[in-house]
Amino acid sequence: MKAVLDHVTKGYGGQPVLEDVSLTLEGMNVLMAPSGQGKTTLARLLLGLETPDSGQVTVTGRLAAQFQEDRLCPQLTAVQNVTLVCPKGSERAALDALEALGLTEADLQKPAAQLSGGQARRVALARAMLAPAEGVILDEPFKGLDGDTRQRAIVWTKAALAGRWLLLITHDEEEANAFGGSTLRW
Amino acid sequence: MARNERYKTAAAILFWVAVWQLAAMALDQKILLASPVTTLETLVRLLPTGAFWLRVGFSAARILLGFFAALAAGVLLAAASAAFGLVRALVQPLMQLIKAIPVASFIILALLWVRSANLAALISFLMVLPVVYTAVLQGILAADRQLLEMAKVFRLPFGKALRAVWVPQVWPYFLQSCAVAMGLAWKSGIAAEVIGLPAGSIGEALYQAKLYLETGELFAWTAVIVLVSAGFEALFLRALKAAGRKLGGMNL
Repeated sequence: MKAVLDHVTKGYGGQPVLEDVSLTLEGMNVLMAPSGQGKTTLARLLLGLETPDSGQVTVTGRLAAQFQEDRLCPQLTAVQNVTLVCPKGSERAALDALEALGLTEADLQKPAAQLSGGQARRVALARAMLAPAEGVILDEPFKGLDGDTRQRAIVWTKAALAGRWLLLITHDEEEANAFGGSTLRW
Repeated sequence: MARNERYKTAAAILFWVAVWQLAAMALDQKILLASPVTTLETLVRLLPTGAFWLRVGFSAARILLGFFAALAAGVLLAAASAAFGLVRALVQPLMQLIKAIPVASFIILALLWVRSANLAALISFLMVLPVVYTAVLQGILAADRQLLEMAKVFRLPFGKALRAVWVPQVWPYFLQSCAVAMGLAWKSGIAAEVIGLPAGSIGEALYQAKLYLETGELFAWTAVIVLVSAGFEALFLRALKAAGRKLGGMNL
């Protein structure tokens, strides 16, 4: 399973953001680039949320994503947000994942609107990793997490990937090194 | 409502009832202005009679039929308008027209099309429809695009997306429109009955009270309309809030 961008160009209001980009994503991929260089646009093209101005995007299988924003349903609890995108009977897996990511019993009962930024980020991460998909896109998944929590989240994410391809978008060298694989720098 | 707020509301109502009583005493013309005491006496006389409850049932059944039909049609048309530009282009001017036409014109026109017994249902329907349509469409259009994209990316089935994403976002708009629309349905429905005079309706009782200068009865029936309308509104909104919590885990 993989994703291929073939001479893709995408711009907004006549300003090109991506120009003639060709790449193949399989295995571990880390994308590092300064802000405004089209990282999120690339993710949106892969997710089918944008169409390229020219070129072709081909994705085989389903994708899951952790967006730059958490995008949780505010009225649902952490577990409900995760199971929302999973097949029936995923409550146990969701609970285990959220506990592994350091959420407490009390956090799990709260509506997402009441979670802190770091807690919401981990719920969004668990949702992306547990959703049935052949590829995963994580856009700054560990943003706002402190040292220990971040380390724990990185270890858990690598284990949860289970052979699927990954596109990790990050500004952090340490995170990039932790995942290894091919690193794209723009 | 907090206890303090309830006391304030009760005190305000008492104040205005006292003003009404003093005005009636000062005027001393029962035909022009029945006092709260006379109104209450008339109401107490009417309450135990079967005819009273039959009239309330007759009018309530038709007005609520129009109200609920308009809720269903308003929601469906709003959803279709949000999904299809052509439907929106066709429906929106119609809703503007319905809003602009005076209710009396509708009632007289409708008398040509339907039996007077069903007039209140049709008029309530027509008055409620644009209110619900406009509010629900506004709610749909204001829905959080980021959550909609999330639903798309994770390929949420329609039912799940409806419960988790759409309903919680549109529900407050729907709830607000229902609160306005229930009062509107009763006001317009009774107005239709006063003009169409269907036998056994509240509107007919109001008209007869006016005809025979029974001002006490006129006031008593008006009080009944206000109370029944407020009662249905409170009950319905409570049911909707409970349904909202159950449907989407919403904390309304």
